[in-house]
Amino acid sequence: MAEDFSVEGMLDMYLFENRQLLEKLQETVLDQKDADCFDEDAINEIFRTMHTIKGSSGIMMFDEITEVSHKLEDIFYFIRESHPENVPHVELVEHVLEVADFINSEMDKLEEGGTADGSAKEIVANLNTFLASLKGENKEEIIKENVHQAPTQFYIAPMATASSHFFRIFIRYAPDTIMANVHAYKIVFALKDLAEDLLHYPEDIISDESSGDYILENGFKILLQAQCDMEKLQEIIQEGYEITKVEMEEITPQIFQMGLDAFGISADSIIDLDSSVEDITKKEKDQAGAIAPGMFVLPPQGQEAKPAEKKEFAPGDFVIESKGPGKSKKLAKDKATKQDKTSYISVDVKKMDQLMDLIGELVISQSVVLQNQDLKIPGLRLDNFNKAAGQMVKISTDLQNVIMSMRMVPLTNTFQKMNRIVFDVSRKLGKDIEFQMIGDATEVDKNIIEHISDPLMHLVRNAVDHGIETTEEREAKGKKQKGKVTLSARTESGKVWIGVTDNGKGLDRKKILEKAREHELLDPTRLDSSYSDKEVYQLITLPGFSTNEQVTEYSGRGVGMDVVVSNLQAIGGTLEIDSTPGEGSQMLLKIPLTLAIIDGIVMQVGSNTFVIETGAVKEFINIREDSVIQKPNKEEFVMIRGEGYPLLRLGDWYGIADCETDVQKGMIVMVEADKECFCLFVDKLIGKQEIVVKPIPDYIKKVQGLTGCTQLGDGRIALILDMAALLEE
Amino acid sequence: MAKILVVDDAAFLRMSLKKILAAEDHMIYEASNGVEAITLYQEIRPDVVTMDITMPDMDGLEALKRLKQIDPGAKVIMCSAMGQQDKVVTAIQNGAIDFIAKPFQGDRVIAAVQRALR
Repeated sequence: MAEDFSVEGMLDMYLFENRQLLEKLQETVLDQKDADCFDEDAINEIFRTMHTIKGSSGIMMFDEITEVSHKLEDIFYFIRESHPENVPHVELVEHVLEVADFINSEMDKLEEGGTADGSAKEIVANLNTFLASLKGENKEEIIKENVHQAPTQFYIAPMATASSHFFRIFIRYAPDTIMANVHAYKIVFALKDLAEDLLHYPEDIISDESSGDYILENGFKILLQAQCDMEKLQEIIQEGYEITKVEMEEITPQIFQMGLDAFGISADSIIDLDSSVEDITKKEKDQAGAIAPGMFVLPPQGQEAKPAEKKEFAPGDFVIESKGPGKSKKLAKDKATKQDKTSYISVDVKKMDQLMDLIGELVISQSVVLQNQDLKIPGLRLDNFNKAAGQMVKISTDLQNVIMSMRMVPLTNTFQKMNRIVFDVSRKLGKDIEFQMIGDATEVDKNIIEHISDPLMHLVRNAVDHGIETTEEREAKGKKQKGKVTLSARTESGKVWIGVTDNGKGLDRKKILEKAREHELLDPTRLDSSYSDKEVYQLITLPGFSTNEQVTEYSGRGVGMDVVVSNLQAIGGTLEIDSTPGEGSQMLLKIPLTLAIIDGIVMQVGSNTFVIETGAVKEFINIREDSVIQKPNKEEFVMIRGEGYPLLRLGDWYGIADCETDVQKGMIVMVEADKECFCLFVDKLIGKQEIVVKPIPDYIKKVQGLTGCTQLGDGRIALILDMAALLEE
Repeated sequence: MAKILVVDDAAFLRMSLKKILAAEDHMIYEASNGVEAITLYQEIRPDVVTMDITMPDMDGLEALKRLKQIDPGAKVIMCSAMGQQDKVVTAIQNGAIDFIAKPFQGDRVIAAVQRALR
């Protein structure tokens, strides 16, 4: 690599592009993992991906990555060209994934500013063994591999005329020239138009790759009969970066007739009859010392190039015989591929966050303008203002939607990762498990994706490890179906519902209860039978709970479920567990689509304002005083249409002074959380508006029941209520 | 200053060639596959094309053939990796004037382009 060639800024591109390639590759591989073999497109894709990674890693000088991708490329080259039968498909899938993992982990290191120092020796050794076994099983195919059937030959029958000239050319290449033989071929090819006769050594420079090394060591020799002069040749063969030395001499037809032996003789020794013996010897010595021709010895097998043989061709015949096995095969075909042709640019996530923040500010200042106190002076004519304001609101709403959609990322990648986990874990545990994805194109805010990846991974592992029985157990139970894990996603009422379903043994109610008693997680006064199934299943999400006696490598020791739940809660999500013994379980994650801007109802309690997400509100009701029932323990209930709902007076709950206490003067808001309804009592409703959710600053102590805060149009701060948390109280 | 069309499906490799060639004050155009290369070629008529061999949609060999049909004088330098000898040979037979091997060596690339421009 030239010194002035800097790799600065290229690492990012390297990582970015290769990550994408690997992701695509994994998707393809996992897509076809259950097939008998890869289809042609997949083989081509894997080949190309490895080829590209090899190329860019070579430039970046990540030798191990280069090596490992090169090996895998070799394997797929072999598969593509030789179509071996009986390729152990699953093994091949594992090899591809192993390589992808290795490269990914090296790229992780690079991304964090480290060096790609992992060793790929073991993987390369495995790949070598694998390739060898492929070839071993397909011995008859092996000859084809990257080798041409016949060497290319350039024989031009001598057709010497008076104007013919004869040349002896010797070329030396720089020792680090790659594919010197092809460089040599380049010259041969360029000369063929001029040549009446052409001989070169080494002869086989196309199919014999080792000829490149031979040329580097011993140089490349050409004998040429042509009607041109030396200058013309010099134009074609020039010293440059590859060619360090060119020696060109005009020789006599007699020397030319000697074929390659002509290199052993000084051009002068025949022509220059007048020179003294000493001169000739001296000249010969000089030449021998300076260049190789003088020392050239033909290897025993290189005898074919005798002039006599050339007679077999008709005069003027120019024979090119070259057969590359790869050439006749179709490469990636012109047919439409799955690849998405949309063009993308990558943007720093920080900038996206900043943009989102700014939009938030814009929404706030918009409401500051539109609800400005100055507008409330009686008698103002605001028709034009309102018209303009309406237009502005429309644009800012569109703007918000566009930016939100920019942040939306399909769950596909996250789901793909789970596919991989199912594959890995089920292979290791020896379970035959099918994996199904439904609705993986569902889009979710990028921030949320980051938070659900770990919980999902845990749930999927659990399903494979604990949920699905071993094949023997399934047979014993008479279950005919294959073990199956389904990952589904859909959006509904502003939330994403992600389900992890398995058709395994289901949760064991008895076992869970026993365990919970053991860990003193149950109310000692309650009977086991008084717990509903749902309550029982929720027990497994308590910290430190595990029903599985055996700690396995994949699902840990039950520290997971409570972590899953707390991860979900951090993004306002919940986990619902459902299970039918013997038939399987379902874990349902309910997660808000986005965290940034919500549609909210603003209400007032005393001098404070609160916000409830519109989706959580069932109805607003004015009630009479006698609808409120107080239990002896001071818990209050509201009777609405014959049903009692718990009542929470927000003002009392937060200790707000001067709030309304008369239920007939205030407003009852019925809200729903976790499928349960309860009522909040507030002073009055202010309105519905878009709310930019801001986190509650750290310097405020954690207050129960709040998810965040926001700034209203008049500059006041409103607190956003968290229904699920309030319900717990 | 010459117009050079860099054809490679890997943005990284295009970038590295661009870095090398831009240092020589050339105008660089990029195409990510054969189809794009041909369209772009007709539009900008570059002085030299560097053409990767392995590409999706239309590979370098096919693109070379079509370029040569469009413009028999097209100067195409193939970019090849180790182990693609036969392809390079085919390319030369089909009219590629030179080839450069990956990993690219800056001085070699510049030399090859310079030679092609002469």
